[in-house]
Amino acid sequence: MIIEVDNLTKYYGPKVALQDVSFRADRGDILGLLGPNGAGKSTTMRILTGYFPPTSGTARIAGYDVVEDSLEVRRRIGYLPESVPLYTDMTVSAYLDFVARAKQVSQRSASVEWAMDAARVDHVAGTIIGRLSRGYRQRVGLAQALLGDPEVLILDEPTVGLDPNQIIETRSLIKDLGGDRTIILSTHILPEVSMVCNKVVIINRGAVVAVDTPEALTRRVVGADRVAIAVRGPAPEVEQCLLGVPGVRTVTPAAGSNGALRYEVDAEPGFEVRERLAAAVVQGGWGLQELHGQSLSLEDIFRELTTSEEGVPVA
Amino acid sequence: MRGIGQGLNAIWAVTRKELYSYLVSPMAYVVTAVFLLVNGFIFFLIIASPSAEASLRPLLPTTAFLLLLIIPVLTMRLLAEEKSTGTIELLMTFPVSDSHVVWGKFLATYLVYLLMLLPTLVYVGVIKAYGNSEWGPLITAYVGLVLLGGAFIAVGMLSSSLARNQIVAGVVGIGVLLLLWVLGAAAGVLGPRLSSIVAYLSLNDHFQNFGQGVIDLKDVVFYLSFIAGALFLTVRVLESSRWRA
Repeated sequence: MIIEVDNLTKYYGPKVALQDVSFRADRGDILGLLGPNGAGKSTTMRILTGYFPPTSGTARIAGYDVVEDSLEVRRRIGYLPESVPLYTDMTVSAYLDFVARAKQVSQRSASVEWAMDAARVDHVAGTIIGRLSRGYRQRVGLAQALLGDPEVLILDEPTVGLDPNQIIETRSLIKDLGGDRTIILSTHILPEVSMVCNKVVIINRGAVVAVDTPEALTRRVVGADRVAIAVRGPAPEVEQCLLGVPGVRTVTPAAGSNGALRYEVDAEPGFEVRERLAAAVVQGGWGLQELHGQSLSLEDIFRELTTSEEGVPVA
Repeated sequence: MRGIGQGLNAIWAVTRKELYSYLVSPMAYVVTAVFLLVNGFIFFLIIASPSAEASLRPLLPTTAFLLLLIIPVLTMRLLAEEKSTGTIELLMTFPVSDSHVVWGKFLATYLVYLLMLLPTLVYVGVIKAYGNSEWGPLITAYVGLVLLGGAFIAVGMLSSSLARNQIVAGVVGIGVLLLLWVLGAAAGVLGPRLSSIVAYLSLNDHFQNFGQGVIDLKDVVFYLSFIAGALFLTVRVLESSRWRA
C-alpha cells in the first residue's frame, strides 16, 4: 500500500470538512476522488500533501506519515492544486527551473525538458506565465508536478477549465503517466472517473460514501432506471396502479400541471418498464400525457448513494 | 552533512526565485531610484554648506530614516503576495522547510539592499577627494548600515507574514520600525529598569556608535540577534498558519 488514509477528520473552526475518511491505494493505482463541490476532496489532498495537518486521523505515503515526516512525503509527491497557483511574473522555463531546484532534482535541465515535453508546454518555454491561457497554465502546473518524477501524483481537478480537446489530451496523459506511478485525482465529472481511474472513492459532505471500481459504479448507475410520467386521473388509484407494475421500485410524486399528475418512477435494474407503464395507464382508463426515460445525473447518484437504505459498501 | 547541503540548496532555490522576481518587477528599481535621489540630494545639501565636514556622520541619520521608510516597501510582498495569490500552497508542499523559505527570501532582499547601497559609495569618494577624512569612520558607517538594513528587512518580512494584503504588510512594517526607532526617547519617562530595557531595544541607539567610528561588539550582537529573532518569529507565523487552516 503506497497510500494509507485512516480516519481523517478535519475541522475548519467549528465546521466539519472531513469526517472519518479512510481509503487505500496500491502502487500503480489511479484513484479518483469523486464528489460534488465542497465535499472535501481538496481538503483531503491538502492533508496528503502536508499543506496542513488533519484534526485527527493519520495518512501515510510510501510509509511516511504526512505530519511527522512531512519533508520525506513532499520529496515523493507531485501536487497540482485546484487553483493552479503559479508565479505569474516568471517565464515557464524559469519557473520550472525554480521548482526543480526546490525539489532538488538531479539532472535538472534534462528533467525540466522531459516535464515540459510530457505536459506539452515546450513551445511556450520562454513565455511569461501571466500571459498564458487557463489551459496552458494547467499544463504548466502539471509539468511542475511531474518534475523529479515523483512516485505519487496528486492532481486536484486536473481537467477543470480546459476545452474539450485539452480535456481529452490531459486524460490520456494521466493514463500514460500511470503504470508504476500512483495517481490520486479529484473530479466532479462521473465519466472522467470511468475513463481514467481503476478505483473510485466517492465522498459527500466530508464522508466516504462508497469505494468501488468504475465498472461497478457505472453498473449501479445505469441499473437505476428512472422514468418520468404524467397521467390524468385520480391520484390514489394511479399511484397504486403504477406501483403494481412489475419492476417498479418507487413512485415519487413530482410537481404537476393542468390537471395532470406527475411521477418519477424508479425501476429495478434491467427491467424495461416504460411499455408496461403505458399499458397499465391505458388499461386503467386514464389519460397518458407524457412518458420518458431519464438518465441519472451525478446529483441523483449522490442522493441515491447517500440516502440508500441498502447496504452500500463503506470503507 | 548531506542534510546541510540540501538545506543550503533549498535556501538558494528560494533566493534565486526571489531575485528573479525583484529583477522583473519595477518595485526594486523604483525604490532604489527614490532612495538614491533623496539621499543624494541631502548629501549634496550637507557638503554644499559652508561649514561642511569631511565625514558621513551628518548624513547617516537621514539615510537610516529613509531606509526605515522604503525597506518595508521592498519586503511587503514577500509572503503577503504568496498568501493572496495562493502560491504559498505549492511552496509549502515542496520539500522545502518553512525556515528555508524565510531565509531564502531574506537573503534575496538583503542582496537587493546591498546593491541599492552600492552607488552611495560615490559619497565616500567625494569625501576622500575633497577632505582628509580617515577610512575608519567611513567603514564603520557602512558596517552599521549593513546591519541596520538587515534588521529592517527582518521586521518587514515578519509583517509580511502576518498580512495577506501587501499594503497592510508595508504599513505595519513601517509602523513597527518607527516605534522601535523612537523607543529610545521613552527612556527618560520610564523607571530606571524599564528605561534600560527600552533603550536596549531601540534600533536607533545602537546605530549611533557606528557613526562615531566605533564598532561595539554589543551593537553587532544586538543587530544579529534582532535579525535572527524576527526571522524566527516569521517562521513561527508561517508554521502556525498551517495549523490554523
